[in-house]
Amino acid sequence: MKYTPQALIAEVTHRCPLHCVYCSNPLEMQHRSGELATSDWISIFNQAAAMGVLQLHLTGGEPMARADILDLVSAGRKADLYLNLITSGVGLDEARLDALIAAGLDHIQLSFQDVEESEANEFAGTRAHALKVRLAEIIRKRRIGFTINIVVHRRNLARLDEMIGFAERSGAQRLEIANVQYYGWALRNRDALLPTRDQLRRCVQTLEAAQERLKGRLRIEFVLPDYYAKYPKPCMNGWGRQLMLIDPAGRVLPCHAAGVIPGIQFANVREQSLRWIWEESPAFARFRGEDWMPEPCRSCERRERDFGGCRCQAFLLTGDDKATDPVCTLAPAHGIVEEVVQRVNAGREGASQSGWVYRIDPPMSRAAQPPPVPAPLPS
Amino acid sequence: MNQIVSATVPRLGPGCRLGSSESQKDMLLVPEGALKMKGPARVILELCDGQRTVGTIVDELSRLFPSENAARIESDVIGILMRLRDRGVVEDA
Repeated sequence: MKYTPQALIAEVTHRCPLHCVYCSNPLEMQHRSGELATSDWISIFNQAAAMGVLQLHLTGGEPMARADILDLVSAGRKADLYLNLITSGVGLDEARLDALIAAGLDHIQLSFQDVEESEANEFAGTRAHALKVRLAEIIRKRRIGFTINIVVHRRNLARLDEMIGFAERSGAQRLEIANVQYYGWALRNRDALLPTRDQLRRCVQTLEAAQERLKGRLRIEFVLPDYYAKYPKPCMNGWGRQLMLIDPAGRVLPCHAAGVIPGIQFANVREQSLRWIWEESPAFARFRGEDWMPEPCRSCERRERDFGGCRCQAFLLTGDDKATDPVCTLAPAHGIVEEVVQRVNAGREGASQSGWVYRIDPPMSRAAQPPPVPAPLPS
Repeated sequence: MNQIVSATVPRLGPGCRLGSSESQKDMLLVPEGALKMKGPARVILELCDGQRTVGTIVDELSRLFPSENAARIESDVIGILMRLRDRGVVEDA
């Protein structure tokens, strides 16, 4: 079976001025000194387009931290890729936005941590919210695809209505409400972030009603926390089937988190062609097809829909990357997830958290410094 | 939302464009991926340039496909544009 990659996620740097408590970057990040050069990325974009990739997602870290970001956008667009910039907004202003649009940027995804400034700054570990609000005003005046992404969790789901209202007024065409997924930094903060069952039920009701009300004006997409799902998510639409991610140092992975799985050698674009890595490398072949599956996946009628769930989550929760994703109610290790869900639901909704583990930048990077201590919340 | 009528001037929404290379020629590229344009949708979308009205688009298609009934073309065009507008990829200019 031959798979065609649809999208390339380019983590062009792990440097970031934000320190979000649920950052999807790995715990061990790449240093600035190890980052690929402009010419490496240009070669990657051309190789990806030749393989049939349609979309290029420039992300990080904060992609605007790359001094060559305009060259990267321009090269991607010249390769006929659809150009999406996933940004915190820090490092963007009117002039840089206009330059990016002139270079061929198709779409911008601006992240928000909340609609309340003090809380947003607390979750980001830095004071960036006001800047993001100003930037949204700048983006809406230009004709470019605009998505607002808000990561939601137990501590901010109470403000979902306000978030939708904010997106409605912002001029964005799309709103992504992304419940935290529990990898990397988010897993460290899981007990403070996982919503209660009741919050989640209200969240789904609110979003479905808003989708209907805003049809044709604002497209709302949402991701639910899979800890409450009956069956696992078809993570990345299957390992190595549609997506690939390249980290700042050139390692090619099937997703954001796969680097946590020990014993897999992920090839590097500095040493191998992108096509070889996609088509031939053992890392990408590892979980394609069904031969690797254990029971109950192997004989499950859903195996072609969810592919046994997420391999990284299976490893993170059970220590075995071949296990059925424990969020699946049929998984032998489902008790691990049930125990977390029960503990969280026994606690107080929106309960205050004192000890966030903040994402830190890699050592030696210019931006590396302890996150500022956010102002205490009014109780 | 208002109806799409003969005087409506449709165009692709922000962040949406038709694929430019040979391998992408049936694709409408959108923020979350790509939509395969089946049948006449690609031709219609090429004419949605923010200048032409639906009426003009129907006239041009009638000349391109003289064997088709013009009323039928108009109802097809409006149907396709309504669906794409609900999907958020077409807007009124």
